Amino acid sequence: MNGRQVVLLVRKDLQRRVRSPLSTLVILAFPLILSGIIALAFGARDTKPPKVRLLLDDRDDGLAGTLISSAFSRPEAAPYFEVEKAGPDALQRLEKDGFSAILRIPEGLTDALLDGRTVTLELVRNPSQSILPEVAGQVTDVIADGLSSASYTLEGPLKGLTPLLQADQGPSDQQVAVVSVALNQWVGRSSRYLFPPAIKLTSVQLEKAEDGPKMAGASPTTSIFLFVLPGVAVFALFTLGDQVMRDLLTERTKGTLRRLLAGPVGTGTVVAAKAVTAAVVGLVALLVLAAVAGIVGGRAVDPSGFLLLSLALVLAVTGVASAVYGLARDDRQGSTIGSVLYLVLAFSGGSFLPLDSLPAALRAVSPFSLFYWGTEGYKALLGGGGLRDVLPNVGILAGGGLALLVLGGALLRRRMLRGVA
Amino acid sequence: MIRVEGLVKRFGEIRAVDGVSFEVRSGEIYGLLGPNGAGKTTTFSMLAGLLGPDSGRITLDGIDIAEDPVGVKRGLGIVPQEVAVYEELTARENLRLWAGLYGLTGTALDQAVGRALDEVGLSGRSREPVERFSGGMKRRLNLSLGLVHRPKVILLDEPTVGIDPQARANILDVVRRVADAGAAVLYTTHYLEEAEQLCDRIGILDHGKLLAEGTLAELKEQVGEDEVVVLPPSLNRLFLKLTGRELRD
Repeated sequence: MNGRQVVLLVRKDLQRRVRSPLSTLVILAFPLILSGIIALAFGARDTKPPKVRLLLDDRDDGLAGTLISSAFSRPEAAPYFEVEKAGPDALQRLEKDGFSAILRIPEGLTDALLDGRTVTLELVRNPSQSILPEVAGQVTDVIADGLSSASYTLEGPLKGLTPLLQADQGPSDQQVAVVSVALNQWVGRSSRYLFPPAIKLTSVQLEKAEDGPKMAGASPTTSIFLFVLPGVAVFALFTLGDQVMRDLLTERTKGTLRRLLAGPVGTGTVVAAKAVTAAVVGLVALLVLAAVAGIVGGRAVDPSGFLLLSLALVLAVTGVASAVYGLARDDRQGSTIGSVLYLVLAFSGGSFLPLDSLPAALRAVSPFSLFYWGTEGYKALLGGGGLRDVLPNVGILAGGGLALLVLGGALLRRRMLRGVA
Repeated sequence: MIRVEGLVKRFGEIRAVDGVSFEVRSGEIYGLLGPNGAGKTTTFSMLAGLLGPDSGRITLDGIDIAEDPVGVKRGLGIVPQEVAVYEELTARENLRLWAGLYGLTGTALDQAVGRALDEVGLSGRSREPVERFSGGMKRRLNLSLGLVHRPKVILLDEPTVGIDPQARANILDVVRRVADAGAAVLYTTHYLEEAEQLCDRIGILDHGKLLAEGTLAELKEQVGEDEVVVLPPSLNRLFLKLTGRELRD
């Protein structure tokens, strides 16, 4: 291998890449665009849930109607419901103004409840919405159940209350006192069942350890961007390395490889030059991606860990690409094999999907993908890890990459000679 | 000079080159002619060190290619049939690359690049990317890349395919000049009138064997003079008589 010739060939390839930068830029932009889109889609949306907009058609105009109406207007419900009184144009407004449903409280609901008769609430759903009308339906169901239970449980006191409410004149103080005493006695009898509750429900939101880098003070959008970026960047880097090594077979097709080998340039020099080019292009790409991640995340990663991991990853990228094109008959076949292989390795290595969302069988094979070690390494660094945390990743990437480079280099040299003679 | 002795190359059962021997002296242009599949490309590849012979010996400028392939290649200039240039680079950058690969540096490299550009008339367009060049300009650059390091032995494989008469005349002039300067030139072409005009001696190859060899006059004598004199161009007639009219794949 001739060092000076390697330098000349690397310079030539870099010049060619600079003159024709589109494919490199597209691959480089891919992780940023994809991570950005995912982050915007899942992180930038309003953190408040969308409200269920409800038109309330209260034809009862009594106590029960008021109870239902006020249930939707309680402070606990306010973040989730927006209630408006329905007018005669309620049906038109349902779709036109984006309401989720119309809740019709029938005339005589209060009387029916007091008499213990069955009565029906009507919910008209907006057909152009799917989830929000369902929420309205479920909540109305709960309210109806509550009212029904109250109606049955308080049957006695309510029956005493009915004639008072139906009387032409208001109830006397004595009548009110009788009903109050009855209610008080009922509550007293029931209190041991109602207070204190035997079971309390407390909701606790657990933080998942595998949820990727936690960026202190970072917005959800930024956190998701930084969570997605490492995996997609590793995939892009492998694609970039593939493109550089594919150029070797493209040169064979164009005849420049034959010319090089007919000159005083050995096959080892040619392979080494392509590998160095892939390494240089890969490192530049990683630095650009790291700079963007640093700017977006507002936090620098451990430089020694990043540098070592990146060098190891670049070695792995070059090794895999050498092996692919050493086995491929021509550049098109290599490109096809590479595309499929990189997708499989990326998915199984957790580059595109969080590892815990993969089936157990796939998770078991993840460590066999070099993508896994690259992705997890960068996630560790973004999560505040240092060089020690990524040393296993560095070792496996460098070792695997070197082994593949030796194998791929030998295959490529044989492939080159076979192709040019 | 080029010396080829008893060269044999088999691909399975096929003997692509079957005991070929010839010699190209310094200052001489030797035309190696033959129909498709005759064994020209295989011979060319073995001379360029891209393919090892099964038997036989090749010496270029007195050095056995099997013993010192890199040493031989330093003094060898190759002009392949395809336009093997980097189209994204300029003509100057292409020439600097090849001159550098052949070991030229500094002033020697600058001078060699300038001379090569002048020789093929590309000095005025030397800083343009090659992808903007016409077919003829690319062919001229293709030629100059093989000559930039002033090789003593030059192998040209159909260097004038698909170009206009002006570019062809330029290429033939350059080849003649480098031969006159002392280089040994092996020239393959399908344009027989070109070989007739340019080559000092001609070897006709078919089915891996060298059927005839010599100057045009010597070839006419070997084949039978009256037939080749009656129907010009004479070499074309002579060639068909030797190799037959059967179409080749």
